Amino acid sequence: MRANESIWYRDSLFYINLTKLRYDEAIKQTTSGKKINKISDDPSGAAFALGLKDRRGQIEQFLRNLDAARIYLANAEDVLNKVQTVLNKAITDASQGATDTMGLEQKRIIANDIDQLRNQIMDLANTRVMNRYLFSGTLTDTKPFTEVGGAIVYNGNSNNIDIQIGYSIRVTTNLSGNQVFTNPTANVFEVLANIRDHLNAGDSSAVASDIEDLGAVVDNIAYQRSIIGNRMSELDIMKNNLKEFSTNLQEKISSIEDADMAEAISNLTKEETALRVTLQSVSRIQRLTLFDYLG
Amino acid sequence: MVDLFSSLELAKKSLLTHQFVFHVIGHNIANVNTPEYSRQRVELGVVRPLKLGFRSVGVGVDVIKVHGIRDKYLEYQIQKELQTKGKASSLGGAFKIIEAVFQEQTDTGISKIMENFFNSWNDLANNPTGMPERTTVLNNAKVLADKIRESYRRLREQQAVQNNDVALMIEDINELGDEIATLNQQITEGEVGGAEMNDLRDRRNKLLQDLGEKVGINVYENEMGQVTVEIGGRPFVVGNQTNHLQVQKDASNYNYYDVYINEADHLVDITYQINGGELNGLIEMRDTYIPEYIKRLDNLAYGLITNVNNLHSTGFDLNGNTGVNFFTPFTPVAPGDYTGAAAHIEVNPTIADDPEAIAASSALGEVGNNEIALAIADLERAYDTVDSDNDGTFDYGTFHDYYHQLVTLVGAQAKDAYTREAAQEEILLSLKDRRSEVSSVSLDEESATLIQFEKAYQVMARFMGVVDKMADIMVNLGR
Repeated sequence: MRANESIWYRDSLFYINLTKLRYDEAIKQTTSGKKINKISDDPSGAAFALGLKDRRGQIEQFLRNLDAARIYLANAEDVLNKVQTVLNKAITDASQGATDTMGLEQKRIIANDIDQLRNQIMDLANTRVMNRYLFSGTLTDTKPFTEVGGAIVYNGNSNNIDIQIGYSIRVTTNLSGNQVFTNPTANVFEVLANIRDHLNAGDSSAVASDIEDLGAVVDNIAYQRSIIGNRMSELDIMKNNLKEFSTNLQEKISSIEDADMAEAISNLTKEETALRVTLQSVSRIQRLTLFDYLG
Repeated sequence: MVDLFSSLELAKKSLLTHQFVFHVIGHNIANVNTPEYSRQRVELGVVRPLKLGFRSVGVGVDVIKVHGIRDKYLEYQIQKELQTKGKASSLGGAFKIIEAVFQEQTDTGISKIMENFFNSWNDLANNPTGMPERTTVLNNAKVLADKIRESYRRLREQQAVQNNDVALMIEDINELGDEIATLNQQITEGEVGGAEMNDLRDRRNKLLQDLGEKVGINVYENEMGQVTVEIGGRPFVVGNQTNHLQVQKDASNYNYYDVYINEADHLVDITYQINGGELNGLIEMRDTYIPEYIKRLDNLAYGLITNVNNLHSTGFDLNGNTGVNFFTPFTPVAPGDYTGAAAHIEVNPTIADDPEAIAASSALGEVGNNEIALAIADLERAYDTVDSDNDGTFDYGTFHDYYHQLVTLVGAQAKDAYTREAAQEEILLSLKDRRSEVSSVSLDEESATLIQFEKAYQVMARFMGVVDKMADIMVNLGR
């Protein structure tokens, strides 16, 4: 073995450089707070984190979709609530008119009220949310109900509008008008028109049987409300699941990407010390030659 | 009998020999910081003795030879490892740039942008007639197309940089070849009398190492002290001649340069025979690594264009139009060959500025129908959307998974290159240390030798004085 200056200088340069690189890495980790600062730091980890981030992004989108679905459903529910109130008033009015003691004049006044209630329900059935008719199926730019020759007709279709709220879960965000209002077994406009016409004709017994029909209409509205209620509670459950999922994903992403700060800082201190010691030892090399001791 | 004059002659020769040694020590010390320098040692020997009758008498010391202390095998190893290092650091350098193309730490990577694109289709499904939603779909699609084209362009640029470097590297290599050839001649001429041309040999070793770092070489030394250098198995330097390398554009490879060696009167293509060195790294990055990344980007782009179009063209826009592509369609060069798709991807210009022209509905006139928007949004999670084995059928999914695989590939190959580079540095460090142990000048050693010879020189000078006095006495005997 022959040791000589050129080895010392080369080795010290190499180790200074190496220590500086490590020091640099340690600084990057503490300042960025990330373990992975370039893909090559951990290729599969980086790709895995990307995959998780994509899923998180999709889940955030599902949550956004969920909020959109909620707006449509909540508005539909609100409309049906109001329709129920109107129908309750119609039942009370019609029941008064069904008594034989009431005179024709008064019956005709009630008939007029009923007609007004019918128009109110038509207005409600034509509700628009964000430029979209709620009850016209997928023909969202078509006014669902119009009066043609004294009869109220449905202009929409019975198609569903779905929204994606999970990986393979969709929720229907609409109820078609022919299912809610012009249902063949419970057509609210027809029943109310019958009551109006029978009151105008003073036919108390016909009005009494119409009130039974109105009961079926109220039942149908209540049933449609329950459909919406079920969908909304499905949204709530889904929302909780998605949020929980999103939090879990975030934790996983952190565990892959984020540096453990305590560890990173102690690492930085360690590398700093190493660099200082290396530099010190190099500065001493110069003083170690025989020439320094020759007279 | 020995006469006084031969003693005087002995003393003179000894003093001159010592002066010669001092000179060599000085030369060593002067070169303490010359990296390729091998310390030199003077070999001293007894001068052929005089025969006087039955006795023989020594007549002092003389220089037999000055030789450089070097380990040929170590020099060879260093030169070989430098070839590996040259390749590794050339690849490592390129990977620092390539890696940045696929950097996804911020929210501007292809992965995130692709997610935004599909998410905006979901937003459109939530409100199929909404103009803000429609405009966002178009914007996000443009950003995605731009990003893919941009990534493609950056890869291509790096490829062009590698290519230019090939041409520059060739010039350096030829220059080194010429210098080595010149040294070959000088060494042969200088060593004719048996002397060792140490400094020239050191210089040539250094040049061979520099050459090896640039290009993989095989080196053979003949008995005349000349080296023959081969590149890619073909003679490059022979004696004092160099067969220069030159480049020619290859029309089948985007007009990138092929490397030829000019042998006598014909050119030999050695582009893919080169093994090791920076040149090898440059060519491998240009012709193997980058084309693979571009191919995968093409496959991804083709999958996106075609799958989105297939759905979109069946849908209806707000004005009842159907059969319109969302992206400008791309026709494969041949079945399974999607070269150019990543450079081509763009939103169909006929809809690019017309949000109403997005076909979100699956039925004529149903503006609230969002089936197509939902289906396109679903593509994000769909399998069999990318043709990963280039056989003409979509067999891989999702888009994200395919892209992540590409990111992993780039990352792993980059990591590999960096690791090799670092490992090579360490190997070279230890080899160079070994070489220094053998060949480098140690100042302590030189000063010890200096003291030793100084003492001998002093004593010899005194000896000469004694002889002088004796001669004096002889001269005065007759008085």
